[in-house]
Amino acid sequence: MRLSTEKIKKATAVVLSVTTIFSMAACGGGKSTVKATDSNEIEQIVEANQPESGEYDPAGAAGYVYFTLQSYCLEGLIGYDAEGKIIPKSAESWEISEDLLTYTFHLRDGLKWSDGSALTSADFKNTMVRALDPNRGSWYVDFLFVIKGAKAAFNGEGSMDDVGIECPDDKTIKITLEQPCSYFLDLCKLPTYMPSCSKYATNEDADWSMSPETNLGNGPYHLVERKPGESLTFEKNPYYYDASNVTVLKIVDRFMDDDQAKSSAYQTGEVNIVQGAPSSIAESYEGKPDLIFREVPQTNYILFNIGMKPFDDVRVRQAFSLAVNRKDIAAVVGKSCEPSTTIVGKNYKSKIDGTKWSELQGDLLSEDLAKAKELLKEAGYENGVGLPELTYTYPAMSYEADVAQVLQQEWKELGVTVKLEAMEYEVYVNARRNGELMMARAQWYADYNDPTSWLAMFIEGNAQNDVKWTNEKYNQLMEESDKELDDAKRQKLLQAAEKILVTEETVVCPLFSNSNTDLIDPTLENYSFDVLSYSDWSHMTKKKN
Amino acid sequence: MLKYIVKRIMVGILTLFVLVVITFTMTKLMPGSPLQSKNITGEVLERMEAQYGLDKPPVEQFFIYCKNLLHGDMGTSYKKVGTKVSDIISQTMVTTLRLGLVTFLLVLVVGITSGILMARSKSNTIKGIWLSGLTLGVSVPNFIVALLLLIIFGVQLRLFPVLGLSTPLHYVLPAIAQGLYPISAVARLTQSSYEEVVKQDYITMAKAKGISSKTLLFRHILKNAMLPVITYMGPMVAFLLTGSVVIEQIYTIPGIGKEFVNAITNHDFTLVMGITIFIGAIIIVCNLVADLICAIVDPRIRKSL
Repeated sequence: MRLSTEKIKKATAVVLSVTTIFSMAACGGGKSTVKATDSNEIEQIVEANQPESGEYDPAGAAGYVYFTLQSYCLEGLIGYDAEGKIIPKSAESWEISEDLLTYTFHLRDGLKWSDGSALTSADFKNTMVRALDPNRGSWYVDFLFVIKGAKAAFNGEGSMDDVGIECPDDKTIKITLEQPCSYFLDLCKLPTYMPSCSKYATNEDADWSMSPETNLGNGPYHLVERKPGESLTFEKNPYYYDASNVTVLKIVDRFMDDDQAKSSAYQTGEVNIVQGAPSSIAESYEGKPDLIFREVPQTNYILFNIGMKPFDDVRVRQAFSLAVNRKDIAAVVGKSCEPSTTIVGKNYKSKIDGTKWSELQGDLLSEDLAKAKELLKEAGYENGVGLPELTYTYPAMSYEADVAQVLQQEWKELGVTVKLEAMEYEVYVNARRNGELMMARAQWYADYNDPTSWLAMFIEGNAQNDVKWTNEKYNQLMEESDKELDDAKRQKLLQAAEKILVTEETVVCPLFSNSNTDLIDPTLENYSFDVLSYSDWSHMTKKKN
Repeated sequence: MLKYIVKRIMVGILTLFVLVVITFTMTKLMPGSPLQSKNITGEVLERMEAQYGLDKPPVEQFFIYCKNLLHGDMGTSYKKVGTKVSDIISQTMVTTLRLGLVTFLLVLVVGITSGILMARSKSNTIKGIWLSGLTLGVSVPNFIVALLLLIIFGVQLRLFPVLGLSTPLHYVLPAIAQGLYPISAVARLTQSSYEEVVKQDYITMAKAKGISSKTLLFRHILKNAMLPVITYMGPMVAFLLTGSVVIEQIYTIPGIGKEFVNAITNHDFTLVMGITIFIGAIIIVCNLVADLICAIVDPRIRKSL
């Protein structure tokens, strides 16, 4: 017996709608499975994480799940408070030399690893030195290149002995930079600046980071079990200096990638937290206390290929940028999305007073179809006549196709027909890097808490500068900002640089900024997210009824 | 017989080699580098590509791969950096095997007994209902069964857990979802083959000789009726061993099927190659074993070899 495809389609549609109705009806009806002890400590929480990839070595292939481990188990030299101000963590204090080249960090007294052994400055140096070994395959080694001699050592042109990392004693680490770098402290939150226990963490033993016995923690938690492809389990680290304030005793991270599976496991209480829930799940939780929006320093934008006609003409780029109605696009993406006209993440908070970057900059662009048409005419393409075939390329993921269609529609009003092209993510990245795409959708999350995490991508010679844009004034402003330690003055320089990039030269067309949507068991409270949106569950407690 | 086995093994090896060539060519034709990740660029990327031998011409890469394969080395994963492909396969295989075994037993017990019962049943109404049940079991795709079971018995009624395989209860839903199709197929095969065998002259003869009904059932009817079922077992066991991608995805079971799909979407070429070869080998072996069992059970086949 054979069913026609039409019948199969109909049957599938019926079954899927039935399941959707069932699952929607089930939302929020669950009882919390989180157990609290008498002293209001929480025995265990389970969260859904992404599928396992990469390694758990800060000097290695630090993928998505590594960062979960880092936020639970590793404590770097500095941290951030709720407003995004830098606060001491493993380093109790630090001094910066007058020439802005030398940073001397002093570690706290009595720091320990989760096995009780002493944590020393050599453990911090250990990660850096191992990352600079080109055979280690570190994903974050680039961020060490601000250190004197680091790049040369990595490329085999210099000796490791000449790299500006010194440990005069067990409690002091002195880092000398190649050039002044006013955001160096922010870089210290990156993997390659985390400590790794010199006793076990060596480049000779490739597997040390995968085993709980050798992958020690110096933060609130330490790894106690790893089931490959299934889960990571963390337990409270009794040797952590602030252990008395850690209320969640155990965290289990389950690797999951199916949306329906995440939603079901959340409803049955087998998972208490789903970070980054897809919009299909989030929608069914609208208005319920489970749904939490988490601001992320992130921007989605279009990258114009200035090496290709007609986008070598700034007027064309501006016309395309001015013709875009960002509100329409944000509406398509969903509730978690806000229109943005800055390339620096809209939600990035100023280090001076915590003001959001979007408020500081105001609108760098505004929709103006008449002006856009005028600019296109000036460029010699009145009503789009004479333009070559135009293509907009996006990775075939989530809402990208919807965004592309809105853009296509809006550019039509400009009189221009744009072809849309979807590519598989890996293929798309490759093509963009090789400068093959005419108009590419791009997205950037901050690696560290500073506007340069976005803006440095467009400096001449930067490895991320896919379209090889170069602008003398921009480069100069960025260089000046690196040497400027006064936050207010520095912010002005960066703001001016961004104006060149977005308004004057329009190499990029910012579109929107997206928040993450999380599902969190509504009976839990006292958790927080830092400026880079990493979660901190360690002080979490259960609400008292 | 021995000659037959040797011949089958040789053909199997040849099939595997063809599989290796095709998979290798296809992964090379796939656009996009597996090492593309937002934080690797420029020199770091080049160095890593060199480490994986990606800078060499594809033909040379192929020979290096084959040479390593002969030494039992399937290489290391691109995305699960530093982890050997063989380790990933053995880890995920254990999980798939556990679920596969439970499903297999379920299929045998439920499929064969219900097939026999129906063949012996005289009520046309029961047979009709049963047959429509089987048609449904064969025609509804397992992802729909899996989702419905998950939502009704997991989320709504909260009778069974839905995440992973940590306790015996965790096996219930995925095993049923995975087993529904083979159960229906086995039951139908058993029934028709049973009905066929019962009509044979030698059964009438055996009955006439006054053989006890137990001996008649097991020695004379089932032994012969099971032949088509055994032939079907080969691909079925292979199907269970290689894991159902959808079931593993929906119930978050870290098995080999799920790993395979992830490897493809991640462009993790060495892992894709490794799993393809491994699954290919399993299918070849399972078919061979099924054929051999048939030969042992059925003297007609044995003699023709």
